[in-house]
This record gives sequence, structure tokens and C-alpha cells, in this order.
Amino acid sequence: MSKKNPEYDFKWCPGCGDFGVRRAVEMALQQRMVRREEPMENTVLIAGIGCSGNLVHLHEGEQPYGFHGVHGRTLPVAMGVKMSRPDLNVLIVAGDGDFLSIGGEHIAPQAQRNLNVCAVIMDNGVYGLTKGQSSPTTAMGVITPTTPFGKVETRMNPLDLFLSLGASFLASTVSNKVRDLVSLIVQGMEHPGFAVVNVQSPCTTYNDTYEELKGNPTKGIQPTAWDLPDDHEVHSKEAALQAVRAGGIPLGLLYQDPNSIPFEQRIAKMNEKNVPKSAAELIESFSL
Amino acid sequence: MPIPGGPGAYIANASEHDPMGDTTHLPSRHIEMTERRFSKLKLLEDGTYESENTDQSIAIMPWGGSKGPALEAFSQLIDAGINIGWYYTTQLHPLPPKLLEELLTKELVLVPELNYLGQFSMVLRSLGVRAESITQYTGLPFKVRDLVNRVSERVKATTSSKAKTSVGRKG
Repeated sequence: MSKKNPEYDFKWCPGCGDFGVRRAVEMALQQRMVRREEPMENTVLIAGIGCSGNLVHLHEGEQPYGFHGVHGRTLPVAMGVKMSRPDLNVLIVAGDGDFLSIGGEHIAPQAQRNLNVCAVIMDNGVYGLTKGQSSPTTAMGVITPTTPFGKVETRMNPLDLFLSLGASFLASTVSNKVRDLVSLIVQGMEHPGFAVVNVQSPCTTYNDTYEELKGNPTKGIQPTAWDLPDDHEVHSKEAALQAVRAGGIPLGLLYQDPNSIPFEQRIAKMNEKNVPKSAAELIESFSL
Repeated sequence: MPIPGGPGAYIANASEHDPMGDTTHLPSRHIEMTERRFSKLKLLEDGTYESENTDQSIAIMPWGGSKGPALEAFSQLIDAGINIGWYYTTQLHPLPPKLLEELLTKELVLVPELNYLGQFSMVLRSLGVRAESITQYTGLPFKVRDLVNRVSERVKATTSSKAKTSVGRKG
């Protein structure tokens, strides 16, 4: 139940990583609003279906426009909004099941168009809302309700996928590092092009990976998450690919294309060539 | 409905929503929204339909794309002296109330339909109409000649049984 809407009865489980993401989104939007002196309504928050999607309704404080839409279709909706109102800041919040599985086929075209949106992906490696089925980022061999004998598919590496498909901005972090997350979301929103912030957001009920990510010396668990070195070249795609293929989960700003041209500018440029014909010319063009 | 660039939210997540656009699962809201949705059916009550030869006790009522061959069959039947009525509407469920009223007075409503089960005549029967399907499931559209034969057979069976027993229906 949120303060804004006492009727809303959806709850995230205690310890859910999405709380950290929500806080970070709120802070990032506040910062943007103050710095740019633009109203909160200038931001459109687009969510898919899943625990992640409920971020729209649990958002506290000043409320951006929210769109809680169809499963996996955050990117098509975002494209619609951005095409009709390029001045709006479009922020996508989606989960791994929503964005990478059902919505997977939308990533490539939008990355290639360089659609000027920022997508915050809450990756918990499981379909949490529907009670723990395996998702593309579930590790191989994991037992879930849909994989009673262990998952047979290999685990997808979403960071590698985003880079290969041509995302012009890619960052990775963990939901409990709220300050880092705020800065990455702000940078992603400022980036002129398709920005993805992939957040490890563990599901405490079905796939609790906090320990795995942070490591536990007493149990001899090595952390899978590691910080990118300070000398990581953010403008080099090769360096980024090397980092995402090095194993584990690199944390920080992986890649930013310095020459990124957003889709709305490409469209504007194309429209310069597309000079409207006069009615007489148009009639002439149809004559045999 | 709130639009992007302004306050509020749009929700299409299959849950109910409150006037602010936020998701709610409260039973009271669920009832309110369900009743709101179903109240829209009232708007369909002015639906239109085609009718011809309405004073006959037997009528033919195709739906969808079967209209073409059925209409041709109907005119051939009329020419052959088999006098039946004709009804057609694009608004199948709910039916225009006036059409339903008329159908309820019929002794037999023949529904040519391209499926195995005869779904539309099931719907009509659930509304109390004495409806019967003429089905075809060849994967091809009706042939006018087939429809003419089957309708005239059915009409003859009805009229002859009526002559014998003076009860309207058979089989």
C-alpha cells in the first residue's frame, strides 16, 4: 500500500531488490527535475507486467506519467510516446522476464534505431509475480516450477546481448547500491540514445542471489559481482565486451557511444530530404 | 483518460484501476468496474439488422461470410416457391433486442454456418430461439446449390410433419 494511493494493495516481498530500484528511480527523477527545471510530468514511466511493473504504482512523491501496459511491450509503447512527443523523457522499468523473454524481439530494432529512452531492467533471474518460474537469466540446472528437473537452457548474458544488438549506453549494477544506481539512471536518461541500465534485483522469495552477488567469506562463497576498474574505457565497445564476457557480473558504466545520434534526430534529418510536394506536382506524379 | 506529458497513469495490465489510473484489487472496485464495463452493452441496443419476408414461420439467418451464398440461396428458394424469411445482422451477441423478439416468434430458424458444432445456433437456442444449424466443415465456403437443397429438404420435412401431427418440429 503506497502513501499516494492507500487503495493499492500490491506488496513487494520484504527485501525485494525492486525497493532499491524504486528509490533510485525516485531520486534520479527528482534530480533531473531540479537540474533541468522541468515538471515531473515531463517524464513518462513505462512498465511491463511483473513485480517490476508495479513500480509505477508504488512510486512515492511527485508522480510522473505512468503507463502500465502489456507484457513485454514496453519498447513499442515507449516508441509511440517518443515519436509523438520527442520532448518527453521516457523511462522504461521492466523485469528480465518481461524485457528479455517476452519482449526480447523488440530490443534489436529499438537498439538499432537508437530510440532515445532509458530502460531500467530489474534482473532477478525468475518470474517472481507468477511464483518463481524460470526466466532467461535463471542459471542452468536450477529447479523451478517450470523446470522440475533443473533448467536445461543455458543462462542468457543480457549485458552481452544488449551490446551485441547495438545499445549505445550500457550500465550494470546491483539494486542495493542505490547511490550508484541513481547516478547511472541519471546518466542513462541524459544519454542521447538507447540506454540500458541492467540491475541485479534479487527476488528474496524465489531466487535470493544477494549472497551469491556479494559473496560470503564464512561460507566460502566468492562474489560474482565485481566493480569495473577505474581505467575501464567507457567509449570502447571492445573493452565493454571483454568485461561482460569475463564472467560474473561487472558493475558500473560499461559502455557509452560518444557519437550516438538518437532516433528523433535521424527522423528529423530524413524529413529534411522528404520535401512535401505541391498539389500540382503530386497530381503530375500520378499521371500516366 | 490521462495522456503522456500530464499527470496520472494509464493502465492496461488486466487488473482493475481506480479513477487515478492506479491498479487496485479491492473487491468493491472490482464490482464497480465490472458493472461499468457491462453497462456499455446498453449502447449496443440500437443495433441494426436486415429482414425480409418476416411473416413466415420459418426463417434463414446466416452470419458472417456465409451471407453471400445464403442470400443467393434465399432468392432461389423464394423463386422456387419455398417461402421462408430472411434475417441477417453483424451484431451477434448481444442480438439487437427487436431482432430477438422477432426470432422468438419463429417456428424454425435455420442457421447456415461453417463449423462442426453449430456455435451460433447454440447461442440462439440459449436465448430460447428454435434454431437449427446447417453446418459444413469442408474448409470451403457454402455452395448455393447445396444450401438450396438442404434448406428445402428441411423445410419440406417440417411442413410434412406438421401436416401429419400438427406439431411444429421434427428431429
